[in-house]
Amino acid sequence: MGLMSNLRVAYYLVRREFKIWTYYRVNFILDIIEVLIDLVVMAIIALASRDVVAPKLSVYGGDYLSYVVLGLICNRILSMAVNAPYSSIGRAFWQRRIELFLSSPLNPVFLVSALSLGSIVRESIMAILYLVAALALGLRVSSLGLTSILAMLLGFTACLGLGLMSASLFYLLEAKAGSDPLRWIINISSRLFSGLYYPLEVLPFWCRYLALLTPHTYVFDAVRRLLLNGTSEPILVVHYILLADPVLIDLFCLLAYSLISVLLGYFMTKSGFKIALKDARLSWWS
Amino acid sequence: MLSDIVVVENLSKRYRKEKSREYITALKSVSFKVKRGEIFAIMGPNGAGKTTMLKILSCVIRPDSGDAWVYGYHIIRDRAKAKSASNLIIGGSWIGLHYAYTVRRNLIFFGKLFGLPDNVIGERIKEAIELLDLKDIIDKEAIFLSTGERHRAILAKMLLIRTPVLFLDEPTRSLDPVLANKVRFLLSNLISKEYGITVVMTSHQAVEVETIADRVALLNKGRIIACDTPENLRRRINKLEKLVVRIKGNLRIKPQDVEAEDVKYSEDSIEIICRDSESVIPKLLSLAKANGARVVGIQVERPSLEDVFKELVGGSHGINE
Repeated sequence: MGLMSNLRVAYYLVRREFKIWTYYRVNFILDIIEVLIDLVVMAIIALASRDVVAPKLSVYGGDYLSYVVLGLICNRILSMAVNAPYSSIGRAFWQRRIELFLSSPLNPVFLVSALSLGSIVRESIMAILYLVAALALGLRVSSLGLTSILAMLLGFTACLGLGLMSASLFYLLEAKAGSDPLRWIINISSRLFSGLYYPLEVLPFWCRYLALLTPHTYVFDAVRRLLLNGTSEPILVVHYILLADPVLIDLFCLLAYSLISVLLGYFMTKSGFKIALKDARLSWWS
Repeated sequence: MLSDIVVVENLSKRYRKEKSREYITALKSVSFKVKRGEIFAIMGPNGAGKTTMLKILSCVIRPDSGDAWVYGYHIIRDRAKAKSASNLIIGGSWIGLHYAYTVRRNLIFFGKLFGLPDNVIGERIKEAIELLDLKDIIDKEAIFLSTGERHRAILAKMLLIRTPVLFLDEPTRSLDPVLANKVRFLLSNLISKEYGITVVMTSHQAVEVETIADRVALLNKGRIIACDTPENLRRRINKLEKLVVRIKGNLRIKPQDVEAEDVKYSEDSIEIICRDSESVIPKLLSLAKANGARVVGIQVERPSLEDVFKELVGGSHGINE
């Protein structure tokens, strides 16, 4: 199949995801409301604790509400890039559509990416909704520049690579229900050590080494510095080692992370599929 | 021009039992060839390896050993081309259909997966609506379909995607007799003869296989125990045919007159037990004519494929562990 046909399939898969998302109206509305409730809860926590946390946020402009909301918006998109490939493969398997896809002329790596695309676009829309609501609640950010978009894009690519690796574990490790070890580690460490909810300074210094494991850390740091008028003070371990502009270092780390994770993700998906087809791990008995 | 559209050579496949070191043999050194335009049926009991064979040929799973070519493409080395040349339809359950989509949307999606242009998809869906009586369900969401309706929707894929080879798993499962006949008619007349598509299908139903298949492979415990035309397979077993003849007038015949094994008389008919009814009938008719009697009805009872299967398989059938 040619590029145009593949793009048509990808477009159709995105449309299909929207249809599923909005099929049960009540769930769709509750989904939207839940996003706003999450935001309100975070806003209340931020307002209540801002005087305590603000002194530790000088690097990122000092406003805790903006700090945490911006992190949550980025995290929605990054987490979806990590989670979407695994959950898309899982859904296709458990809803017994995987054999239809496998018998079609689609390339397996394209198949996993295209299946994930719908969820990623959906989550990006939720992130925009989040942003609009956050602006209404008092989020103050400077205008979106190319560098912050680049940081997001690189972070997204790195997370998608991790997502592809995680999706291949669905059949390589037969981790077919719930979560796989890689996704579990990434999701846990991004919440604990990447500075999503609190600045890294509140953690013991050794935790900053663990922070280097997830691409989220670099994205949060770069985007917050850029959009919240941050300073050039080093925070992450790599900032102390490389002694250059922290945003540049973040971008460099994200680029390296993206290259490695996408290559590994591609390799694991492709070779994983071979093993899965050999052992019939993506097949049903009937 | 390629004459053998599907070639299978010594194909074997084992599955590992869940959470165990034991294996289940699904296929053991299976070999066969399917000619262009043929309807080739694989018949066998549950767990014989029929569906596994179709899944291997449509590249959904890989064999452990052996080779297979679909439309000249090796299923592992030329996987992408082999996939583009075949269309797999597995019935039952939810396979392939998306619950939130109408049947029409699902079919459009199938078409796009195979890279068909929109106008072709539209035309073929119209055709499928007519041929498979989909009018009432075409704009119904799949979640509201009954089992039979879902199966009909899945079968529409065979009219939509016209690859050189069609792999069909139990095509008339869950269908009512009228629709089942319609599907058989579509397969033998439209799909095979008009479109020239080579069909490899599985079935449990001897009648179905006898009606539409050009050749049959009998599969048991992962091995092909016989592969021939339904007619030749019937001849293989040592079971006699029975002619029930209704006659007006007086006719007394001896078995040797018509080269039969036995002749029995009842009140209004004669039962002739023979090996080959086709050679007996002309002799019977000329004998009746010579004796001034008139044959008003002949009923032929031949051994069915089911009898062939029972005789060849005996008591042992199913999965080989």
